[in-house]
Amino acid sequence: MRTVILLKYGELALKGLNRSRYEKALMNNISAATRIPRNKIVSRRGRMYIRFEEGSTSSSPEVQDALQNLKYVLGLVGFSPAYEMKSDSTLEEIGETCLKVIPNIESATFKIDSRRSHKAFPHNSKEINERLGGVILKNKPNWKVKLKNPDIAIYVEARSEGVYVFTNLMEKRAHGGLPVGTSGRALTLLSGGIDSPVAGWMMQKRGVLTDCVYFHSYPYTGNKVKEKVIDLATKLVKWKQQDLKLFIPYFTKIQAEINKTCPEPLWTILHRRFMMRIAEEIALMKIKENNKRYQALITGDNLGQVASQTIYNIGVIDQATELPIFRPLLGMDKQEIVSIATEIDTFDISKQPHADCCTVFASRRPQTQGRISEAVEAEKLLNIEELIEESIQKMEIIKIEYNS
Amino acid sequence: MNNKTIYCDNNATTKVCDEALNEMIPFFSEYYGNPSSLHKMGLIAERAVKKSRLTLAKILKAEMDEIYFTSGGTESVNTAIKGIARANSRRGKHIISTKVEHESVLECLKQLEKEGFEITLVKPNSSGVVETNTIINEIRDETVLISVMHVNNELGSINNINEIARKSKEKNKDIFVFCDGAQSFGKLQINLKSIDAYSISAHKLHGPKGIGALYIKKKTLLTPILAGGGQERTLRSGTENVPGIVGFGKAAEIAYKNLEADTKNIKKIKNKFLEGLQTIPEASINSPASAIHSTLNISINGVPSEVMVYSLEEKGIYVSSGSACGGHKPKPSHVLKAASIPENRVKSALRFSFSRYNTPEEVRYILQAIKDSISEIKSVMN
Repeated sequence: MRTVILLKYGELALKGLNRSRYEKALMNNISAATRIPRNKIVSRRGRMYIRFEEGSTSSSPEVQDALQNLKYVLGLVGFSPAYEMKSDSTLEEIGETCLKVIPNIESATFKIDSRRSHKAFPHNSKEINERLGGVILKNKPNWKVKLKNPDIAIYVEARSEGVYVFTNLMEKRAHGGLPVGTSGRALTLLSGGIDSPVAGWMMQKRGVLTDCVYFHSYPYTGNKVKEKVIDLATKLVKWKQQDLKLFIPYFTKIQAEINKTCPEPLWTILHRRFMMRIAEEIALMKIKENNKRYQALITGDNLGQVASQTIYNIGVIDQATELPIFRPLLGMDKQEIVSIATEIDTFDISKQPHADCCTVFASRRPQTQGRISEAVEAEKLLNIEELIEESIQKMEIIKIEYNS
Repeated sequence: MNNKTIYCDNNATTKVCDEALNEMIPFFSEYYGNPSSLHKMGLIAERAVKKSRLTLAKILKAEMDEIYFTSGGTESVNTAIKGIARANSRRGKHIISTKVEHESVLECLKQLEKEGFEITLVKPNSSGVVETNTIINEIRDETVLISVMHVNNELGSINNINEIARKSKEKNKDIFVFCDGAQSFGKLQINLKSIDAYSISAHKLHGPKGIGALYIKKKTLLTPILAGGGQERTLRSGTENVPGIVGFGKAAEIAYKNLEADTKNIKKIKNKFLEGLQTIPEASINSPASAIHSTLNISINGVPSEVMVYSLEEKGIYVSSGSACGGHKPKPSHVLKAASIPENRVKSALRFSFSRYNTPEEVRYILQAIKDSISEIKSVMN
């Protein structure tokens, strides 16, 4: 007997011809997250397992360690440790294993939920349920059978590669979605606030591989904000299963020039338009480490939350780049965003109140109904190309290492 | 970034002086014994601790067994305030302190408030100085403790702690007087004649972090906070931080050996700086003329504190906005507010705190940097 972890992935199963590509990506991410070699992660007939050594139990350190790390693998719906027995095990042997997996409590309701896909197994599922139910009742006199919503569901699966035994209490939920890396690459614009890391995470959950951009306006924003953004990126990298790049373009001069030259109501819109332009520049530039580009930008915009996030201004900001801008939080309430931020552990970092560049350079009466024509007109006073070039030239790139 | 380092944030913390550092090192690697051990290694450590205790006792004109080592200012404050309040609560549950105390004092008092103590906080005058009669007026029969800081960390205002203590005891002889000396020890001659407890932090006087002391006058009744091996005559259990204590002792020794000369030099620096500030129309002075020589709090009209801190940092100058402990939660300084400084000046306040390692030559550079930063920032912000 050995321990395995059963891995459940919901949406992947629907992906038709592309399925093997998704499965492969998922297995690679699992391997990176758990540091378990790729050949120990097997996929058979729509089931994925991690197989541990003969004799391992669900409390073995390597199993516990893997269970800890699996929750960061996006694309998994859930996972559960289980005992794997030989496919020719007898019902007596399986009954003993059932007694091992159930909790040691005096009274409870339970059911046996068995499946037989291995037709050479000598008992059908009805027989298995009855015989094993009898074993439990004999050993746990105060337990009662309950087929609908029991306290404890004991699963027995007789498959050609083995018999698997586990319970509902051993199952753990994961976040679902698609494996990171299967939906292309995008840059997340991180500000240090609550929203942007949540936006980055949500797109990661849809399979996007993301690196981050932070616009630094030193000395108007201090290095503590930069440190905070690095801390946030360190949280996001956990879900990525590979190193993350944090691009930090030089933004001070752009904000200063805009505020010196352009009408005050437009300041924020123009700052944002430059952010998009710079992010696009980074997205399309070949970075020497991997030569790959990014196909989209991700922001934490939330409709109506602040002046730059009105329906008009979003239009004006979009016009500055040809890349699609993903805004997964657009329709969410603050409380929903906060609860995700808490879930992914970024909230406590985000809420430390270091002013970011937006607050220091904020205009006192921002335009909320911006028009593209007025933004374009205002920008005629600026040397856009030169400003962007300088911003990229003075850019710092920090590598956030992935350590599972 | 600039390679220059002009450090003017010495009220936040200081550089460890070479003398203290050199004295400490062997106690990490060679004489690492536990002072409680019976063998020779223990004895060497015990003697080193004794030597530092003697140094502090001499400076404070106290007995050696009136000096207790702790992990620093905050622990000393907690030990003194909670210890005295709890041990004497049967006599009364009223405590008087001031609105300009350090957070360690104010938060301690908040905790005691939850335990049923009644706290009265008096307001300082517009110089940030606590006037004696404001304290005396609040004294009642059930007042057990008065806690007044010696020197204010943000403004540098000096309180006449002995007068406060003496007159308080004239009115109610059972009162204990505790004094937070974090910003005064190492910079002023200390007289503890009427004071019952006095807290000290080593890293404010070129000693290491993580070590401090508490002076407690004999016969002061006090309940310890930490339970354990009974070190420091049961007041502060936990193995002594021997290297820290050694460094602390040395730093204190040096500070008082050079006190007069250092004070004179730092005064010169501050006066030169004050003179130069007159040529900057945006600058106004928040510290009173009577403040301690090493602290100068100013405001740069129209420039938020943090922006100026970062802008000066870029030029290699390190100063503080408000007090450093509040540095990670930028809220307007409670001290400046209590001293009735107008809000716009509170929001643009900068604290320069000098040490013996600053030079008059630096002042010229600082003044120019302030002027440059003002014009850079004003051209960008509204």
